[in-house]
Parts: sequence; structure tokens; C-alpha cells
Amino acid sequence: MSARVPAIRCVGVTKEYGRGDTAVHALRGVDLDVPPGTLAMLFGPSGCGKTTLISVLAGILDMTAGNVEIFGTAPFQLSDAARTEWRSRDVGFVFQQYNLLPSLTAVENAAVSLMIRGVDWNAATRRARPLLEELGLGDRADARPRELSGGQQQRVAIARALLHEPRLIVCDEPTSALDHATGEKVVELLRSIAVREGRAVLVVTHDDRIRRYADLALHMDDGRIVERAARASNGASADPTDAH
Amino acid sequence: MLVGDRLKHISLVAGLVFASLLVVQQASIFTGYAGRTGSWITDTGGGDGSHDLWVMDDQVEMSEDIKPLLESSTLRIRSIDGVAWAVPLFKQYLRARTPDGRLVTVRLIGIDDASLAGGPRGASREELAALRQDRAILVPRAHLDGALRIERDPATGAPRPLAVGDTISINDHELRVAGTFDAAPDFFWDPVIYTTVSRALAIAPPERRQTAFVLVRAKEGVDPKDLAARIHQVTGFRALTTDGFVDRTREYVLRQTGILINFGITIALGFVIGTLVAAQTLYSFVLENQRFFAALKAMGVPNRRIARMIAVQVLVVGLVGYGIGAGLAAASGYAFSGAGLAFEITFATLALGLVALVTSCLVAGLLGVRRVMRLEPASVFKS
Repeated sequence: MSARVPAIRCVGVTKEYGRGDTAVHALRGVDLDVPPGTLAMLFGPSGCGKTTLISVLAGILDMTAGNVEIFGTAPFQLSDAARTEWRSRDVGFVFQQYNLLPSLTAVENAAVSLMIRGVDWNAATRRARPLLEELGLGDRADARPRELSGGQQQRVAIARALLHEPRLIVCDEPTSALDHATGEKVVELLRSIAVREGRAVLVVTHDDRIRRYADLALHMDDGRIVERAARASNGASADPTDAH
Repeated sequence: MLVGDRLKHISLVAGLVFASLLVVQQASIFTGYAGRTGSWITDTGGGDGSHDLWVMDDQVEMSEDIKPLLESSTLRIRSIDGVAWAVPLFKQYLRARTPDGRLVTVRLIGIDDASLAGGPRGASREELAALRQDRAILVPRAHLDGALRIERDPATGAPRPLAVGDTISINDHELRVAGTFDAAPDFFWDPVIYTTVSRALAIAPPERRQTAFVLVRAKEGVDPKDLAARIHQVTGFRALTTDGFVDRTREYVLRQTGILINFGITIALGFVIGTLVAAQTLYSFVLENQRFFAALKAMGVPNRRIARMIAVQVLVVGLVGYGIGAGLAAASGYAFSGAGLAFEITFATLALGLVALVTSCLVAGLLGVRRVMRLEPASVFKS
């Protein structure tokens, strides 16, 4: 993929729930360009449209109007089946509550994203092990989710989101259930992945403590992006309150 | 996922075990009872060769429905082309007085004096030959210590089983137990007592018509069914093979007694319970695990694959539940066989149970699948 193709491009994206006087405008014409290799964070109060925006960008929620392109692909011009297939190939998800399958071990959970792609069980788990080791979970690979701490579960979820090598990784409040130190580690990890692989990582968060890791900090309110702050070319944080 | 939730898994399997136990056990008991309705018919045929056909009045519905023919009927039937031999069979419900004075209703069967054709298959040649003795009767071994048991021996005052050598009286005719025979468990409970036709006619109250059935053997090379049609054409009597008579008796009993509907209700109940338990458990399982299903859908798992996952899990628990339930049903049938439980487990019964359980599970699974199909993948971010 050419470096000039943005990771995320959306133009005039709107999303309305309901119709007429009772319609709820969740997104009111969002324009956004995110280059590859970027960790973008979406901030804003509850109900401002953050979750709706990442749902649209991940291709799991239809928009009312506008255009979305992810690494040059317009998911909403694909059929339902093709969009489902596109998600399985190009999108990785990290959820607030991890959503690890309780009956599977850590390595099996990590391997789920490959199994969805049709890789058989043994091959998928074989490929998942080195990634878990890279994420510091080599000795916990055969533990079940209930035997893991919150931080460990989130790292398994990140492994699951990465293993099939998607280009867009969407994270919903990935640190909200973690203590500060663990949360920072998780965000550092996500940032290193985005930069190293030329992907895009989009994080929805209420956690201001992790703002300094953002390459692009976006503040939303009432369905619009009202503030953007990009990391300076000298590496200065996108967080204007950060002293770095 | 389902297996990961041990409590739900166990409750689901337990529900299905109970349902399949009910379905298989009740169906097997029903099969057992239905099979017993023809016991006397299939037990008849010892002695001098076996017969091919039962000939009876055209209005006879089953083995216990006696509408006697004239004595001359046997002669008419013998004259029909293709008949090798034909013998009369007497059958009447009478009251027998046991040595201690009790009255017991019995089915008195009179078989051909000369050939002893129509005797019980469960009697040996010697036992059957004992009928040639004076005032002789054969009684079923199972009833010696049952319906015909002597509760108070006139000599000792103690209870004891009826035995060879004892006498019973029917219609003031004294008869001596000359032998015993084995009889298959019978749906109709009154003891069957065998004697000869001439003796039976002497004992029973006189009637113009005394021949309950005529047993017919076809000549070699003659198809019994063709012969049956010929007998019907010539005499107007109904002629049935043993299997045909068994079927007619079973169908009549099932129709008249309501056994079919009663067992059917229990079997249907098992099916409904199985479906409800499976549906309720599976549906709550789906509700509780919506976030996992939504996550999988978001991650790119197509609906049909999720439907397959649910179907496989449901079928696995269904088969486990069915296997345990059917096994318990078979074990209970074996355990109670000594107590006279009519229990006959057949391939058809097992197949019925399997189909019922799999249907239960698929119906239940369908409800869960429908819920998952409607689930928006974006809901994963709301949980």
C-alpha cells in the first residue's frame, strides 16, 4: 500500500438513529484523515459519538451519510458478506471487557482471529505462542481467562487483535479496567505496534493519563470532532497539557 | 463456550437426559405392552405341526373376541381346495374353582383331541401328551403361584402354589392338573388353561356354536394368503395368518384401550419438556453470552458460522443427553424386567428417541440462533 494512502479517511460522516423530530444525531458530519503508523485517540464526554464513530470506521455500524475509506477500501461499498470478510482480514478489535472466550486458553483465544480467517486450530495456536511470548505472556499461554489478571487478559486481547495482522486496530476503552501502570504498558504496546507496522490504531478512551501516547488526539463533542492535536515532528506529545 | 459454563451445561444435559429417559422408556413400555397383546396367538401352535391360518367369524376383532362358528364349519373348511388339514379350537372365558374354593376367571382352550394341534408352544411333547389322560388340563407355570395359587391348602391350612396332581373344578366338572407349560407374558391377564375340545365342550355351558377358531394348514406349495382369500370367498369367514391376527389384535387393543394416546401423551410430554428445558437454557446462555457473539460477529465471523457453532454445541449436548437417557431407560427396563414390566427396547424406539431429542435441540438451538442473527455487531461496544 502506498504511503500516501491514508489509513483512515472519512468525509462528512453522519449517523442518525430514528427519524424526524425524534431522530438522534450521533455523528454530525465527521471529517477525519489518519495517516498510517498513527495511534489516534478519541476523547470526549459520554454520548458524544466516540463509540459510534469507531463502530462506523470498523465497518460494524452503517452510517447515514458520508464516505469512509480504510487503507483505500470503502467498506460500505462492499456487500455484507464482503464487509464481514474485510473485517476479519483488515480490522483488529480490543474491547473494554476483553471478551475472551472463557472456555479457551490464552493461546487459543489469541488464535481465534486466525481461526476466523480459516487457519486450522493447531497452526493458529502455534502462531499465537510467539506473539504471547513477545507480549510477556509466554508462561501464561495455557491459562484460562479467569486465571489471568486484567492486564494479562487485555494483552491476550491485543494478541488476538494483532495475530491476523490487520491494518486497522480499534480499541474501546482498553485501559479503563486496568491500573495506571498496566494501562500505560498496554498503550505503549499499542503505539509501538502502530508505528512499527505502519498500521493505524484508533483508541476510544476517557483516560486522560494516556493522552501523551497519542500521535493524534481528537476531542469529540455532540457528534463532531471539535479539537485535534497532532504529535509534533520533533516527537512532542499531542497532549498540550503534557510537559514532554 | 457452552462447555465452558459448567452449570448450564450440566442443567441442559440433565434436562435432556430426563426427556430422553421419558421418551425411550415410555415408548419401550408401550412397545412391550403392544407386543404382549398377541402373546396367546403366537404361543398357540404346539403339537402336531403348526398351522398357517386362523379362521374365525368375520366380525371377530381380536383374539379375545369370541364369536363362535358352527361345528360344521371345520368340515366346510376342510373341503376347500388347498387345505392340508383343519382343526377346531375351543375358547371361552369360564370360572374355575381352586382347591381352596376361590373362583378364578380362566380362558379355557380346547384343542383337537386327535392331533393336539393348537396346543401351547411352551409345552413339551410329554406335557402335551398328558392331555390324553382322564380329566386332564395344562396350566401355565407363571400362574401356579399367581392367579391359581392355593391361599389355604385344605389339608394343611398353609398357602402353596397349585401343582401337578391338584384338581380344580369348572362348571362343577372336576379337572386334574396333568402338566404345565411356559407362556409368554400376556397383555390379557386371565390364566389360559388347555384341555381337549371334547372335554371343553363337556364342561362349558351348551351353546349352538362352540368353535371359536379353526386352525388351518395349507397344502405344500399353496400360498397361505391365497388360501385365506379362498376360504373367505367360499365361507365368508375371516382367515388370517398368525402375523395378521397379531396385528389385528394389537391394533384393536391400542384403539379401544387408549393405550396409544396415553403413552403418546407421556412421550409428547418428554419431548416438550426436553424442548423447553433445552430452549430455556440455551436462550439464557445466548443472552448471557451476547457480548461474545457480538465480538465474534464484529471480528468477522459470518452468521452462518455462528449458527453452525451453536448447532454443533447443541447437537453435542443433545447426543450426550440422549445417550445417557437412553442408557438409563434400558437399565431401568432391565432392572424391572423381573417385576413383570412390559419393556421392549427396539431400534425403532431408539431411533424415535434420537429424532425427538435432536428435534428438541434443533428447535431450541433455532431460538438461540435467531437471537444471535439479529444481534448487531456494534453492540459489542455497548457492553
